[in-house]
Amino acid sequence: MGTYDKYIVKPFDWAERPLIHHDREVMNGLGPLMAFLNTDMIAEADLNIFVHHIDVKNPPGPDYVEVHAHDVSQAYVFPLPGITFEVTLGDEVHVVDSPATVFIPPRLRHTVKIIEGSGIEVSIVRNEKYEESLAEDSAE
Amino acid sequence: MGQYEKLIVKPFDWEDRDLVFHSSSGLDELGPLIAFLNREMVEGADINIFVHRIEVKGDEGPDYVDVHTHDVSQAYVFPEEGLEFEVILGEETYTAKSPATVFIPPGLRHNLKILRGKGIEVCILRKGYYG
Repeated sequence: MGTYDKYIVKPFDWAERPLIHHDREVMNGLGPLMAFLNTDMIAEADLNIFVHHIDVKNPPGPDYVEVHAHDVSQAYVFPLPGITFEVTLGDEVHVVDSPATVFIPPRLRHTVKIIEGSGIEVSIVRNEKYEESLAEDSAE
Repeated sequence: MGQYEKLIVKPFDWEDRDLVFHSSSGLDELGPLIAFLNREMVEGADINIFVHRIEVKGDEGPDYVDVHTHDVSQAYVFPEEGLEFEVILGEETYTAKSPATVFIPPGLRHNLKILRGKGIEVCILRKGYYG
Protein backbone atom coordinates (compact mmCIF):
# COMPACT_ATOMS: atom_id res chain seq x y z
CA MET A 1 0.00 0.00 0.00
CA GLY A 2 1.16 3.50 -0.74
CA THR A 3 -0.08 6.97 -1.50
CA TYR A 4 -0.85 6.24 -5.12
CA ASP A 5 -2.21 2.72 -5.27
CA LYS A 6 -5.66 4.35 -5.41
CA TYR A 7 -4.81 5.34 -8.99
CA ILE A 8 -4.69 1.73 -10.19
CA VAL A 9 -8.18 0.30 -10.55
CA LYS A 10 -9.82 -2.83 -11.84
CA PRO A 11 -12.75 -2.50 -14.23
CA PHE A 12 -16.19 -3.80 -13.32
CA ASP A 13 -19.30 -4.79 -15.22
CA TRP A 14 -21.76 -1.89 -15.32
CA ALA A 15 -24.38 -4.67 -15.34
CA GLU A 16 -27.90 -3.38 -14.70
CA ARG A 17 -26.88 0.17 -13.77
CA PRO A 18 -28.58 2.86 -15.85
CA LEU A 19 -26.79 5.03 -18.38
CA ILE A 20 -28.80 8.05 -19.43
CA HIS A 21 -30.12 7.93 -23.03
CA HIS A 22 -28.94 4.29 -23.36
CA ASP A 23 -31.12 1.18 -23.32
CA ARG A 24 -29.02 -0.94 -21.01
CA GLU A 25 -30.86 -4.20 -21.66
CA VAL A 26 -30.33 -3.92 -25.40
CA MET A 27 -26.74 -2.78 -24.83
CA ASN A 28 -26.03 -5.79 -22.64
CA GLY A 29 -27.38 -7.98 -25.42
CA LEU A 30 -24.37 -6.93 -27.48
CA GLY A 31 -22.00 -7.77 -24.61
CA PRO A 32 -20.89 -6.44 -21.23
CA LEU A 33 -20.23 -2.74 -20.69
CA MET A 34 -17.21 -2.39 -18.41
CA ALA A 35 -16.48 0.73 -16.34
CA PHE A 36 -12.76 1.49 -16.55
CA LEU A 37 -12.62 4.99 -15.06
CA ASN A 38 -14.96 7.42 -13.36
CA THR A 39 -15.05 9.58 -10.25
CA ASP A 40 -16.56 6.82 -8.16
CA MET A 41 -13.51 4.69 -8.93
CA ILE A 42 -10.99 7.55 -8.54
CA ALA A 43 -12.22 10.79 -7.01
CA GLU A 44 -9.93 13.08 -9.04
CA ALA A 45 -10.60 11.43 -12.41
CA ASP A 46 -11.46 13.96 -15.12
CA LEU A 47 -11.93 11.29 -17.77
CA ASN A 48 -14.82 8.85 -17.96
CA ILE A 49 -13.95 5.59 -19.71
CA PHE A 50 -16.11 2.61 -20.62
CA VAL A 51 -15.12 -0.44 -22.64
CA HIS A 52 -17.94 -2.25 -24.40
CA HIS A 53 -17.26 -5.86 -25.36
CA ILE A 54 -19.33 -6.40 -28.48
CA ASP A 55 -20.52 -9.43 -30.38
CA VAL A 56 -23.34 -8.88 -32.86
CA LYS A 57 -25.09 -12.22 -33.14
CA ASN A 58 -27.87 -11.14 -35.52
CA PRO A 59 -26.71 -8.31 -37.77
CA PRO A 60 -27.51 -5.54 -38.06
CA GLY A 61 -27.18 -4.77 -34.37
CA PRO A 62 -30.00 -3.02 -32.51
CA ASP A 63 -30.51 0.65 -31.72
CA TYR A 64 -29.61 1.28 -28.08
CA VAL A 65 -28.77 4.96 -27.66
CA GLU A 66 -30.80 8.09 -28.44
CA VAL A 67 -29.27 11.01 -30.24
CA HIS A 68 -27.76 13.21 -27.54
CA ALA A 69 -24.92 15.66 -26.87
CA HIS A 70 -22.40 16.45 -24.17
CA ASP A 71 -20.99 19.78 -23.11
CA VAL A 72 -17.48 18.30 -23.30
CA SER A 73 -15.71 16.34 -26.01
CA GLN A 74 -15.88 12.58 -26.41
CA ALA A 75 -14.10 9.94 -28.47
CA TYR A 76 -15.22 6.51 -29.60
CA VAL A 77 -12.19 4.32 -30.20
CA PHE A 78 -12.49 1.00 -32.00
CA PRO A 79 -8.93 -0.23 -31.54
CA LEU A 80 -9.01 -3.45 -33.55
CA PRO A 81 -10.41 -4.67 -36.86
CA GLY A 82 -13.65 -6.62 -36.90
CA ILE A 83 -16.51 -4.19 -36.27
CA THR A 84 -18.69 -2.18 -38.65
CA PHE A 85 -20.57 0.66 -36.99
CA GLU A 86 -22.88 3.49 -37.93
CA VAL A 87 -22.37 6.87 -36.31
CA THR A 88 -24.69 9.85 -36.51
CA LEU A 89 -23.01 13.26 -36.26
CA GLY A 90 -25.42 16.17 -36.47
CA ASP A 91 -27.70 15.22 -39.35
CA GLU A 92 -25.12 13.03 -41.07
CA VAL A 93 -24.93 9.25 -40.89
CA HIS A 94 -21.64 7.51 -41.60
CA VAL A 95 -20.84 3.80 -41.76
CA VAL A 96 -17.29 2.91 -40.76
CA ASP A 97 -15.13 -0.19 -40.41
CA SER A 98 -12.83 -0.54 -37.41
CA PRO A 99 -10.11 0.25 -36.52
CA ALA A 100 -11.22 3.88 -36.30
CA THR A 101 -11.76 6.84 -34.00
CA VAL A 102 -14.72 9.19 -33.89
CA PHE A 103 -14.07 12.52 -32.19
CA ILE A 104 -17.20 14.32 -31.01
CA PRO A 105 -16.76 18.02 -30.19
CA PRO A 106 -18.79 19.52 -27.34
CA ARG A 107 -22.51 19.88 -28.08
CA LEU A 108 -22.49 17.96 -31.37
CA ARG A 109 -25.52 15.66 -31.42
CA HIS A 110 -24.49 12.06 -31.95
CA THR A 111 -25.37 8.41 -31.61
CA VAL A 112 -23.73 5.11 -32.48
CA LYS A 113 -25.01 1.74 -33.61
CA ILE A 114 -23.00 -1.42 -34.15
CA ILE A 115 -23.90 -2.99 -37.49
CA GLU A 116 -21.91 -6.20 -37.37
CA GLY A 117 -18.83 -7.95 -36.05
CA SER A 118 -17.14 -8.47 -32.74
CA GLY A 119 -14.51 -6.62 -30.74
CA ILE A 120 -14.29 -3.73 -28.32
CA GLU A 121 -15.31 -0.09 -28.26
CA VAL A 122 -13.61 2.34 -25.89
CA SER A 123 -15.69 5.42 -25.03
CA ILE A 124 -13.83 8.35 -23.53
CA VAL A 125 -15.63 11.43 -22.21
CA ARG A 126 -13.41 14.32 -21.23
CA ASN A 127 -15.14 14.99 -17.99
CA GLU A 128 -15.72 13.63 -14.52
CA LYS A 129 -19.00 11.79 -14.55
CA TYR A 130 -20.80 10.71 -17.71
CA GLU A 131 -24.14 12.10 -16.55
CA GLU A 132 -22.60 15.44 -15.56
CA SER A 133 -21.24 15.85 -19.08
CA LEU A 134 -24.64 15.74 -20.74
CA ALA A 135 -25.70 18.98 -22.34
CA GLU A 136 -29.09 20.31 -21.33
CA ASP A 137 -31.95 19.35 -23.63
CA SER A 138 -29.55 17.15 -25.55
CA ALA A 139 -31.93 14.34 -26.42
CA GLU A 140 -34.17 14.33 -29.43
CA MET B 1 -19.08 13.51 -47.80
CA GLY B 2 -20.33 15.89 -45.17
CA GLN B 3 -19.03 18.54 -42.84
CA TYR B 4 -18.50 16.03 -40.02
CA GLU B 5 -16.69 13.32 -41.94
CA LYS B 6 -13.42 14.93 -40.78
CA LEU B 7 -14.28 13.77 -37.24
CA ILE B 8 -13.95 10.11 -38.26
CA VAL B 9 -10.33 9.07 -38.65
CA LYS B 10 -8.37 5.95 -39.41
CA PRO B 11 -5.41 5.14 -37.16
CA PHE B 12 -1.85 5.02 -38.46
CA ASP B 13 1.43 3.47 -37.34
CA TRP B 14 3.55 6.05 -35.50
CA GLU B 15 6.64 4.22 -36.83
CA ASP B 16 9.86 6.19 -36.41
CA ARG B 17 8.30 9.49 -35.41
CA ASP B 18 9.61 10.97 -32.19
CA LEU B 19 7.70 10.58 -28.95
CA VAL B 20 9.14 12.68 -26.16
CA PHE B 21 10.43 10.69 -23.13
CA HIS B 22 10.11 7.43 -25.10
CA SER B 23 12.61 5.17 -26.84
CA SER B 24 11.22 4.23 -30.24
CA SER B 25 13.34 1.07 -30.36
CA GLY B 26 11.90 -0.10 -27.05
CA LEU B 27 8.36 0.70 -28.16
CA ASP B 28 8.85 -1.08 -31.46
CA GLU B 29 10.33 -4.13 -29.77
CA LEU B 30 7.00 -4.60 -28.02
CA GLY B 31 4.90 -3.96 -31.12
CA PRO B 32 3.47 -1.14 -33.23
CA LEU B 33 2.35 2.11 -31.61
CA ILE B 34 -0.75 3.30 -33.43
CA ALA B 35 -1.99 6.91 -33.37
CA PHE B 36 -5.77 6.99 -32.95
CA LEU B 37 -6.39 10.66 -32.17
CA ASN B 38 -4.50 13.92 -31.95
CA ARG B 39 -5.04 17.49 -33.07
CA GLU B 40 -3.26 16.87 -36.35
CA MET B 41 -5.69 14.07 -37.21
CA VAL B 42 -8.73 16.08 -36.12
CA GLU B 43 -8.47 19.84 -35.84
CA GLY B 44 -9.61 20.93 -32.41
CA ALA B 45 -9.22 17.51 -30.78
CA ASP B 46 -8.44 17.96 -27.09
CA ILE B 47 -7.67 14.30 -26.43
CA ASN B 48 -4.55 12.41 -27.56
CA ILE B 49 -4.95 8.66 -27.97
CA PHE B 50 -2.41 5.99 -28.83
CA VAL B 51 -3.00 2.26 -28.95
CA HIS B 52 0.06 0.09 -28.38
CA ARG B 53 -0.21 -3.46 -29.67
CA ILE B 54 2.05 -5.39 -27.36
CA GLU B 55 3.69 -8.77 -27.33
CA VAL B 56 6.55 -9.42 -24.92
CA LYS B 57 8.80 -11.96 -26.57
CA GLY B 58 11.58 -12.28 -23.94
CA ASP B 59 11.47 -12.88 -20.21
CA GLU B 60 10.57 -9.25 -19.53
CA GLY B 61 9.75 -6.25 -21.66
CA PRO B 62 12.34 -3.50 -22.22
CA ASP B 63 12.61 -0.17 -20.46
CA TYR B 64 11.38 2.33 -23.04
CA VAL B 65 10.16 5.43 -21.26
CA ASP B 66 11.84 7.83 -18.83
CA VAL B 67 10.09 8.87 -15.66
CA HIS B 68 8.23 12.05 -16.65
CA THR B 69 5.20 14.22 -15.97
CA HIS B 70 2.44 15.95 -17.94
CA ASP B 71 0.55 19.15 -17.22
CA VAL B 72 -2.77 17.37 -17.79
CA SER B 73 -4.14 14.06 -16.60
CA GLN B 74 -3.53 10.78 -18.38
CA ALA B 75 -4.92 7.26 -18.29
CA TYR B 76 -3.41 3.93 -19.29
CA VAL B 77 -6.22 1.54 -20.14
CA PHE B 78 -5.53 -2.16 -20.54
CA PRO B 79 -8.93 -3.33 -21.76
CA GLU B 80 -8.44 -7.08 -21.86
CA GLU B 81 -6.69 -9.83 -19.94
CA GLY B 82 -3.22 -11.00 -20.86
CA LEU B 83 -0.71 -8.33 -19.83
CA GLU B 84 1.33 -7.78 -16.68
CA PHE B 85 2.91 -4.36 -16.22
CA GLU B 86 4.90 -2.29 -13.77
CA VAL B 87 4.00 1.32 -13.18
CA ILE B 88 5.92 3.97 -11.25
CA LEU B 89 3.77 6.64 -9.59
CA GLY B 90 5.79 9.25 -7.70
CA GLU B 91 8.39 7.21 -5.79
CA GLU B 92 6.22 4.09 -5.67
CA THR B 93 6.41 1.06 -7.95
CA TYR B 94 3.42 -1.20 -8.52
CA THR B 95 2.88 -4.36 -10.51
CA ALA B 96 -0.58 -5.07 -11.91
CA LYS B 97 -2.34 -7.33 -14.37
CA SER B 98 -4.80 -6.41 -17.08
CA PRO B 99 -7.64 -5.60 -17.34
CA ALA B 100 -6.89 -2.43 -15.41
CA THR B 101 -6.75 1.35 -15.59
CA VAL B 102 -4.00 3.60 -14.27
CA PHE B 103 -5.03 7.23 -13.78
CA ILE B 104 -2.22 9.77 -13.58
CA PRO B 105 -3.14 13.22 -12.23
CA PRO B 106 -1.38 16.29 -13.67
CA GLY B 107 2.15 16.70 -12.36
CA LEU B 108 2.57 13.17 -10.97
CA ARG B 109 5.85 11.52 -12.00
CA HIS B 110 5.22 8.23 -13.75
CA ASN B 111 6.64 5.52 -15.90
CA LEU B 112 5.43 2.28 -17.42
CA LYS B 113 7.06 -1.02 -18.25
CA ILE B 114 5.38 -4.06 -19.75
CA LEU B 115 6.61 -7.15 -17.96
CA ARG B 116 4.99 -9.97 -19.87
CA GLY B 117 2.08 -11.05 -21.99
CA LYS B 118 0.21 -9.95 -25.06
CA GLY B 119 -2.58 -7.46 -25.66
CA ILE B 120 -3.29 -3.78 -26.15
CA GLU B 121 -2.72 -0.64 -24.10
CA VAL B 122 -4.78 2.49 -24.77
CA CYS B 123 -2.94 5.63 -23.69
CA ILE B 124 -5.16 8.69 -23.26
CA LEU B 125 -3.82 12.18 -22.58
CA ARG B 126 -6.25 14.98 -21.81
CA LYS B 127 -5.00 17.37 -24.49
CA GLY B 128 -4.61 17.31 -28.24
CA TYR B 129 -0.98 16.30 -28.44
CA TYR B 130 1.51 14.16 -26.56
CA GLY B 131 3.93 16.12 -24.43
